Amino acid sequence: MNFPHVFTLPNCLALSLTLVLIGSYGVFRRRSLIMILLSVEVMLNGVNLSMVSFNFFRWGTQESSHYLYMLSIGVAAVEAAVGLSMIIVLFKNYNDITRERVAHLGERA
Amino acid sequence: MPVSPLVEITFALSAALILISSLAVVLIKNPVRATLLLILSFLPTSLVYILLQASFVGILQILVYAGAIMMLFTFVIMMINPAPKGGESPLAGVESAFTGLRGAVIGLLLVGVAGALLIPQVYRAAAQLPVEPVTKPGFGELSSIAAMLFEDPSNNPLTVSFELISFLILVGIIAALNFSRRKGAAPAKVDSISTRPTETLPVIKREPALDRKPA
Amino acid sequence: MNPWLLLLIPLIPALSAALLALLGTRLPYNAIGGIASLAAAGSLAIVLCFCGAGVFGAGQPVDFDTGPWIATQAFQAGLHLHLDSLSLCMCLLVTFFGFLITVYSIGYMRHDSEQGRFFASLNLFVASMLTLVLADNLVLIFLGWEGVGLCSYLLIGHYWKQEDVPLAAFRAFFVNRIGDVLFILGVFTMFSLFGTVSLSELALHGPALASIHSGQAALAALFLLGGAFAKSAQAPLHVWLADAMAGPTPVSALIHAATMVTAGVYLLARLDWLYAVSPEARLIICLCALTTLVLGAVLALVQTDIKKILAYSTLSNLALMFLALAAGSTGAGLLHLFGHAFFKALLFLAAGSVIFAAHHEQDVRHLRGVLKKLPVTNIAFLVGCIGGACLVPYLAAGFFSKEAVLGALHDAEFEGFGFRLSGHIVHGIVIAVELLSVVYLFRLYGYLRSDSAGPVVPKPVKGGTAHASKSGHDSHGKDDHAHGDHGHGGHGGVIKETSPTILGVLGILILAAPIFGWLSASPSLHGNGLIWKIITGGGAEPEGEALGHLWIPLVINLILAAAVFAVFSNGKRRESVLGLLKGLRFGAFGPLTRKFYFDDVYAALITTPLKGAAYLSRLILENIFTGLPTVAGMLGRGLSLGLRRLQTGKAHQYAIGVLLAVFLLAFYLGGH
Repeated sequence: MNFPHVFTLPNCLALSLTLVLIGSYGVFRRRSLIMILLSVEVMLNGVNLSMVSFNFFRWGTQESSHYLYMLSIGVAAVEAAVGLSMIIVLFKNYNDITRERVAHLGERA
Repeated sequence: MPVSPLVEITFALSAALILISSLAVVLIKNPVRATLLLILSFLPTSLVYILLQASFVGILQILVYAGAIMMLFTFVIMMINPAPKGGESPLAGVESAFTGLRGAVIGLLLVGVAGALLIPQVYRAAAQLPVEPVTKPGFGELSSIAAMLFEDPSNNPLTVSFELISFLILVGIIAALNFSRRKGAAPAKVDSISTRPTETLPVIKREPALDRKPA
Repeated sequence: MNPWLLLLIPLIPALSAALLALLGTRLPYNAIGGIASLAAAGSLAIVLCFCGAGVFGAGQPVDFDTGPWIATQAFQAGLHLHLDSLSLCMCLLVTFFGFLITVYSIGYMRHDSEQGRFFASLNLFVASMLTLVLADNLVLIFLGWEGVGLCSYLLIGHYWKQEDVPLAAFRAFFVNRIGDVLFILGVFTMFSLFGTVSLSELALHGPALASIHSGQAALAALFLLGGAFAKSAQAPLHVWLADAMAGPTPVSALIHAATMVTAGVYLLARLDWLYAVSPEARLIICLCALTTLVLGAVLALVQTDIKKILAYSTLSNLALMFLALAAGSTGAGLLHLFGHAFFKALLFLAAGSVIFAAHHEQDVRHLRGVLKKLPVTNIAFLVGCIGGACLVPYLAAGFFSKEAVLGALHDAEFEGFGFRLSGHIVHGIVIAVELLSVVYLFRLYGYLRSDSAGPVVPKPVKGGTAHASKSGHDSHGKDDHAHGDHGHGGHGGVIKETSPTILGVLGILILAAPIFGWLSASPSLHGNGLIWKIITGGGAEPEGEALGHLWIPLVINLILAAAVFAVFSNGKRRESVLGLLKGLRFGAFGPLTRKFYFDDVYAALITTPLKGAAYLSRLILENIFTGLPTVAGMLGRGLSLGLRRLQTGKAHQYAIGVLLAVFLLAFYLGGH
């Protein structure tokens, strides 16, 4: 049986792009800050996937993207930590994590 | 390159699982369930990484991402408990351009158009690129990565930057600690967050978390 | 004589006009009138000097030329004043009457608050008219032509605060404007045919060329005729003269009896060689003048306003002048011009005296018996009526002039466009209209001299049934509202002779009119023919009727005048006759009440389309041209409203924006 060749670079890239789009839909739609952060994680996931697949399909001599992946998850971790602590503080003040609550930047009454 | 059916099937299934669970993450209202679904989406991702001969990356995905970052999310959600019903605030009556059915349609439209434009572009561009096979022995193995990172530190920029990640984490710790300080810890209400919303949106007083009734 | 004096003739009144226009509000009233009268007197004096300089008759003309005024390669016109016998006579006429009427106005306008403008316009009028008659080329004539038109507008509109007056003034100006357009077209045609607009050159070379290119000459003649008709109020452009009576009475006397309306006659007299070669033009003159003749006489019969009666009478007499010109006798036309000026000005000024004494009451039915209390005015009116009705030979100012016209018509032939009109028919119509003129003049005199018996016609409410002057209501059965710029209400005051200036001028004219009548007799009628020679520069005289043949019409006229006077001066007799006539539905007759429908035709043909066009253009302007900036504004506003949504200050919306921008960038950089 001739199995179709699906494990290709375009497919991997399309997969990662789809993940980014799904994540951006979540950023667009979700009103709770935590959910927005989760959507951002989905997007990051997609990006990481694209990096590593590039490395596998196009550059077989060095694993540089694997290192970039480590940087990426490091940054993701720090960002999640800082963001979540901010969310905690906001919740303590407003009891509410809706994005409209924290929406206005720089306005004074 | 001969097509290995196992690889193909595994990849296909993993891709499907990733997509489904990611879709569920952005659509499910309950934050706890969303978090768990995200964790679920990391497993197939890890599998794909392994297929891509990035075994260390695959392990790291589970260990760090699912193990540490998602734990962070879970703790915070447990602590905050935004709402018993779901992630949406009871202020569902607040309408904006992106709420409700109209928001869904607009979002789908935006994402759909972007997708429709970009995905064919990806196929067009990437399909022409020839596949270069992996030539390095032990590609993606921990030893290989370690060798890349730590060999000849005097002439290797990657080593320094790898160590600097720890500084990044340090910055994050300091920031989080700063947020949790009592006096002047949080940005005062007057300073950076406008008081206007409180005039339009009422502040909700809720019962303490410990007395929460089960959903 | 120094030609520069010639320039001074029109210049002095012009300077006085400028002075009064600038300083009119600051000078005391007597000073204003005095300055104006002095200016007019100055012109008169200079003209009188020229009279003794041998210009009269076939004498030596005087020229004044400043050199080129309009000087292009193809067309030259100079500020060229030319004084020959005819223009000297016209100058004499204009300055004589100008002076008298200016003096008269000092008394008449005594109570008026805007005398500065009035006297300035009066002087400017005199200056323009003098320019017109002294001009040697058609362009300069046009300058004077326009000037008198302007002053006519200014003076008719003197009482501009009253309801109908501005419209009447505008109407006069508008109809004159139509004539001006035709005049200009005529000038162009003349220039294209003859290559010059100078009257002297035209008189020299014109006749030969005109008889060669008779078609084009006829066209030029017709155009200029249009201009003359508008200025001299012949049908169909006569509609403004009756409404022009809205102005003060001295204005009516000067402009609309003696001078401005005669400008058309003067023009045709100057260009008589042109009309001699175009029989079509003469036929048209004849027909239009006949129409106006009958129109004026018939409508004058049914008017109740003094000035309107006299205005329609003027129409008839102007038509007579044109008829004489059409018949080919320039001398007869001009003679009647002068004769008519005398008796009509006298009548108008006497009427003005009556009006002024009766506190600006103009309806004859309210002025019954007024003349009994105004002796001098009474004599003036009588002399004027006799002159107008030509009752007494040698004394009636219009007697010999009308005889000259009749004589010219008797032998004339009018033909053109395949149509022939015998002069005999015209002669007969004119005689019939003569009888009508006797009737309406003595009807007027009868009213003014009547006893006060008879039912009192109720006074109309001030400003009564006032519509725009377009639809007149001048007949039996409708009232004319009283004109007055002050609240001199009704008949409250005592009626007596008013101002010495008024009386003085009337006295002078009472003497002057018969003198002119005497002087105007032609040699065949035992006169000395002096005036004829003077006016025509020595032209041949027509064969007039021998005096013996005139007895029968004279007697008929006298009997008719006496009868009409008897009827209208006695209240009972008048009412019975009027009742009889009303029973015959005379006077309420449609065409009479509607001024033969000329106004209605004009309203339908001209004013309604013009109003429609104005409305359309206003629609277009308001909606499109002001709409365009509005659309631009709306575009900008819409754009800004839309773009404003981008700046909400909401962090998550900015985040979404960044995301979308990234997608766009990816698409673009990917090489689409």
